[in-house]
Amino acid sequence: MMPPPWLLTLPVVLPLTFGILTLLFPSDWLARAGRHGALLCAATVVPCTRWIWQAGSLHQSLGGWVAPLGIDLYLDGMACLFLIFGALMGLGISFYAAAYFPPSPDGARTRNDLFWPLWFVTWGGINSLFLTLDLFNIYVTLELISVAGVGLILIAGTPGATRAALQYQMQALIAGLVYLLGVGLIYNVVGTLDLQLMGAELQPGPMKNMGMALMTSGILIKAALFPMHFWLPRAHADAPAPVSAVLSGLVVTVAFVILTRIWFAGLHRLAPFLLPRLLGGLGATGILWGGILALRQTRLKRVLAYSTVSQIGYLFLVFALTFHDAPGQGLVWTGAVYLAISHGLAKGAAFMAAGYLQKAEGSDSLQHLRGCARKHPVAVMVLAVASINLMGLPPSTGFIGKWMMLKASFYTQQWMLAVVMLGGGLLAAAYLFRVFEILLQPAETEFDKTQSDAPQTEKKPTALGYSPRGMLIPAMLLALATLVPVLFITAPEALLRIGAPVPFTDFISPGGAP
Amino acid sequence: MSPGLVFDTVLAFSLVVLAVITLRQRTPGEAVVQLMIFGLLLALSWLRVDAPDLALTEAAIGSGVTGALLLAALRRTGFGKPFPAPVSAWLRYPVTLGCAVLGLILSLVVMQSWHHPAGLTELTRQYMPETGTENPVTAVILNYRAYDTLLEIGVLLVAALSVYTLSGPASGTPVKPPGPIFRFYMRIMTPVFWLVVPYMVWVGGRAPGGAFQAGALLSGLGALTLLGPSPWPMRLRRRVVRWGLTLGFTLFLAAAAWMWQHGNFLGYPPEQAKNWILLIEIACTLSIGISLTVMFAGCAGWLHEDPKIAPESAAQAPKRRHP
Repeated sequence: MMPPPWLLTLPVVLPLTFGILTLLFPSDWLARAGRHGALLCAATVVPCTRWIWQAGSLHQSLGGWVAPLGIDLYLDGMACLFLIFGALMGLGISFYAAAYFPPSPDGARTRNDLFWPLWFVTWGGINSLFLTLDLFNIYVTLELISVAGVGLILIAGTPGATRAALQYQMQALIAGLVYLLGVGLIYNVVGTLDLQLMGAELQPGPMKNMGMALMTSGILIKAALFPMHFWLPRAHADAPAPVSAVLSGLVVTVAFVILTRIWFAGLHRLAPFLLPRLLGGLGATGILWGGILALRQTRLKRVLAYSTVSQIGYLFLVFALTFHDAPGQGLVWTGAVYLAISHGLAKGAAFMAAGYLQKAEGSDSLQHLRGCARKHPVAVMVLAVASINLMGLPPSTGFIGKWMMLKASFYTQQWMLAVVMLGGGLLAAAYLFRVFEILLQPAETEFDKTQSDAPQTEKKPTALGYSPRGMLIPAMLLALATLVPVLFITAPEALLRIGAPVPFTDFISPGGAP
Repeated sequence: MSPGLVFDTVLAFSLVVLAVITLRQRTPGEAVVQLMIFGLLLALSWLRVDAPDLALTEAAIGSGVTGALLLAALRRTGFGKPFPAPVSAWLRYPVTLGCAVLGLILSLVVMQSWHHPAGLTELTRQYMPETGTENPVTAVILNYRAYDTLLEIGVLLVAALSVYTLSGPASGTPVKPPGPIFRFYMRIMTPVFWLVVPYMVWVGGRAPGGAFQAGALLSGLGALTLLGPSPWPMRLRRRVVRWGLTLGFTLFLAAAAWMWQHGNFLGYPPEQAKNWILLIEIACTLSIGISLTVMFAGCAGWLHEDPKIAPESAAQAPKRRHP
């Protein structure tokens, strides 16, 4: 069976096309175009999933030039699972944004209109990153996402956002250059940019080790792993809520996916002895540091941003836990993938709920939001469901991911990591319960005053300039999506095994989810 | 010591010295001027390692466009004002030390085990006849690895959009009417630009050149026009500008998807490849030129949030007549 030529490129082309269209469309079409576009873009995942179930992993060479000369796209289980994740996030974010940005009163174009082209281009770039196998192509696409990210943050239009965008731009520049330097060194030795081609013939050497270290550090800056997280809280907290969801839910995850691609394509054999340990150590420090700082924040979105710093730490433990072909690699890797996906969904939903509270109450400062659970029960409910996942409590996918990694840390006898993982969970519970404690507090005077206002605002959502229902339904669905895989956990795992870069020589029976 | 080696040594040495000088300037204005000189010297060093395409791009974009953008931005923040706050020593010395150590390790590693890149040069040459171009660089950029270029054109579009998101309410100081020397220069240079830009696109098929260099030149013309006696681009409708911005990306994407019927995304049939590449290059040149001009206007503070408020320069423009 021949795959249709558009199979792997359509998930990239369609979002890019909508990026152009939403730039050219008149302002009052945009919300609708965004929603319909999102549905179409998300639908491109269906044929990919069908193909991989029926025929397995797939290579497609762009321009008809096979790998060393051209660029190969590659669909395996991991790419497919992340494409599905991207589609879910994309749908949620697009529907949320359509409700979030107020329609311009007289049909004139506003700064908000630029959200749509920038967001669709980001989506296309992210899909491309899930599929690509080419080191230089990764660089170009990362640049695309970063530059779009700067524009997206700037949409907020506040001085804080401008500063955040500048920092974001700076980290993107440095990260891009460092990564590119590493690619240059590797290319000089190996003579190809294709990950699978070079994976076969990689032997350690000074140039290759150096290149690997540089590439890894570049991606670590993008992923905001602990000491390189300086840019994240500001950028993720000061951006408009849909953009926070894009950056914290999707973009950070993408950096992790790329690093796994690069490592498990064989480059982890190059990594000097120290590097995986270092990554594990940084991840562990990040878990604690992010958690502690999240406890001290006074704004809801800041809490969530620092929570991202903490949760990213978990993902990078995978490199320490699979170190030197340790047994049970497949399990750890599956756990990390689950964790990445569930964190993305939950954090996206949490930022959406926070954005709703910010819009409804005029600020996201925790002091200001005291006792707002009575007025906005659904938004707080979304936060709660997302928090189940962030804390890693049982019915969530986050729990399964953390459980798998915890098991692996016991089997590989890395006790410190196990302790940190458990401690990180407690910290997450602490900073999230602190938020709920404030949100659920009865604030009598405030409440009595606002109760008389509330019915009015509920009746005329159009007067608000945003639609509460339109914002909260996508957020709720995303949050609930983190609980769904528990019901049929074997499906994503079977998907992940198709063309998996990691051997599934488990130390316990395969499919060993709890 | 051969003259070439002497030249290279002097070049490398002056690059480092110039970088240090640039970093040590007290005002942004001086730093930008040094940076532009640095860019030119860097272009020269690309020439020395036989990469004329890179040299052209570096000169046009690294020195020319970047310099123009920075100078335009300085118009608003003050050309001669010292840097607002010197970077604290706590940050400066560790960063300097870190860069020095990294540079040292890098040079050691490279000197120790650099071998002439195996690379893909041979393969590139082997399939050249099927690519529709005689310039290996163009073959790589627009055929073998056209996907990268497609996304890069996207980067430029997105960068221009990001500049739009920065545009605030009308503020920038109005342009002074150009003096006689500038007008004279404009009158000579405008036709030269109009000759060189299409030549640059066309020659990209055989020799160093192509959309990026031509687009950079076009944006030079755009910037000159904006500063000149009749800044007609400022009077263009927003919609027209948006179409212009997206033209290259749209056409490239459409062409790429059109090739699905031949079996591969971006896979031009060999006999049509030359025409497709030329078409894409022309569209991309226009869009690159327009994006960079938009960025220039944005840096100078001439993009405004509300399209109904005409920029000051545009409002004044009709009164000033072409000399």
